[in-house]
Amino acid sequence: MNKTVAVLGGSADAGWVVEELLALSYSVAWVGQEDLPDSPRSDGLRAYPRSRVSAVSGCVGSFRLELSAPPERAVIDAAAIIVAMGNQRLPLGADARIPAHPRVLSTQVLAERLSAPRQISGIAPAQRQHILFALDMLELSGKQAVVETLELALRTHDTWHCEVSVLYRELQVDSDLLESLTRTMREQGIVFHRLQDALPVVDDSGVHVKHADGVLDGDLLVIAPVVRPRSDSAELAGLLRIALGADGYFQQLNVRSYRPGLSNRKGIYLAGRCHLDADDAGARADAAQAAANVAILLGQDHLQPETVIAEVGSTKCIRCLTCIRTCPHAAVELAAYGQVTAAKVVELACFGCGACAANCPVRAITMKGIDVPVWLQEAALV
Amino acid sequence: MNKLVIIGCDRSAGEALRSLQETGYCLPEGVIYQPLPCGGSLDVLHVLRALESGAERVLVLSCYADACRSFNGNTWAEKRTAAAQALLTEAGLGQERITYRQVSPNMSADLGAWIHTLINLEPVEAQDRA
Ligand code: SF4
Ligand code: SF4
Repeated sequence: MNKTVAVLGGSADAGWVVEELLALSYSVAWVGQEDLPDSPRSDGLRAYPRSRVSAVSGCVGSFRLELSAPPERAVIDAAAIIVAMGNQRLPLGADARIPAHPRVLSTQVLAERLSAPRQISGIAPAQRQHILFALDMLELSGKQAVVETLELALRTHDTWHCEVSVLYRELQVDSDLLESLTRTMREQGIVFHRLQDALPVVDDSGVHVKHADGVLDGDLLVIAPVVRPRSDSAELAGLLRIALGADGYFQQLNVRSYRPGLSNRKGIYLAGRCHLDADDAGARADAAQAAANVAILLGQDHLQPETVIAEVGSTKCIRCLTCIRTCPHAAVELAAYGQVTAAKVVELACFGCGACAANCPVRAITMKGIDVPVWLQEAALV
Repeated sequence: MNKLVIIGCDRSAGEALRSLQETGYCLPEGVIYQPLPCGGSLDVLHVLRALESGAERVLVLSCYADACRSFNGNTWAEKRTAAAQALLTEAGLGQERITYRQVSPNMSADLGAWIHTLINLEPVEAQDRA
């Protein structure tokens, strides 16, 4: 059985997935639209930088991906696919609601000023100055950007010895790193305020931001980056026939009771910040989970269908395509049965949910592997 | 005669029932559980056949919204239950014979309570006559 895994995405998240897969001795085809981050040298790794997936066919165990990678096209045959394209960070100027003013800075600009030698930059604020750091000001900043912004706030306080305040909407202190970081910041006199729904007012006298207990006046406002799903997520989701959530991130199959990282299609998994909000540690852990999902799938020598699966009676099928539209797991396709064309369930891809059988207008689909009592035997499950 | 037929997604209703049974609970006499692989596979005919086979009431159970492994099985189950209720109303038989509930695997106590309530209700015909 082909045990190549295609990893899609040029993000750091994808790099961690590749590392995990190589450590488990899988062959990896790594495809990214950008230059790919550094990765361990390995015979098992084929890298396709600056390449775009243009078509996907097949199913679990035998996916075929066509790449457009100018000047040539490439084809990858893979048993499984991991989507790890990450999210995207918007530059500060992207949101017109934030006033463009020398007192309003991105974290990146502040970090550059902080690192510049003082005699060159000449812009170190005096001790009396007050620098405000805003998280999630207009949109979610994302966990990693929150960690980086808080670290920057602490570094600013330590380096310039100025007054620092942090404004936030929802600050979930849900990791050891964030807990120790926020504790250290509080011990050093950095104050946290909850933001109100109001835009900052910036004028020559300073920056004025509404918070839950009043108005905070400062000299500089540093805005944490905003993260959004990548703009090419929808296109890739369409090619892979996997679901995007209403928020534009890839939608994980049943977040409550199944393994994390499963998409609605067998053999296609999600990893990192294309489907969840995580800091780097969380994204690394998710990469390990994605590799474990692949190992569960490909750990045996052959793939097994579910115990309950659907089957189309090709002579009854009227090719209305209802089942193809209804199947939540993209497991039905049209196929030739001798001279006849009819719907066909791809056994390995079927989750056995029965939605196709219940929707077929001519009851051409039966569920194999289910015991149906006599009193139900004229219903659709038979 | 079956008093109650429970038709439910085996991943939620089935799990809840099995946890309940692990505590020593037995389904009362006349109560039958019919598992489905997912709420999405519920057919109006399942409900009607259950009533036709002598059930006084049918309880349809699916996962909560957003908890369905197949994304929208609960929506299908709810719609089809409503369609079966509409058919009963049209036939003048009382749609209260059919109950739809969303359940999660850890709601075994709720499931036990629903069963208890449903089997202790007055027969539907008696209500119709009243
Ligand atoms: S049972 Fe039907 S609808 Fe459900 S996964 Fe299989 S083919 Fe798709
Ligand atoms: S829903 Fe039934 S009739 Fe329509 S294509 Fe599928 S199997 Fe054929």
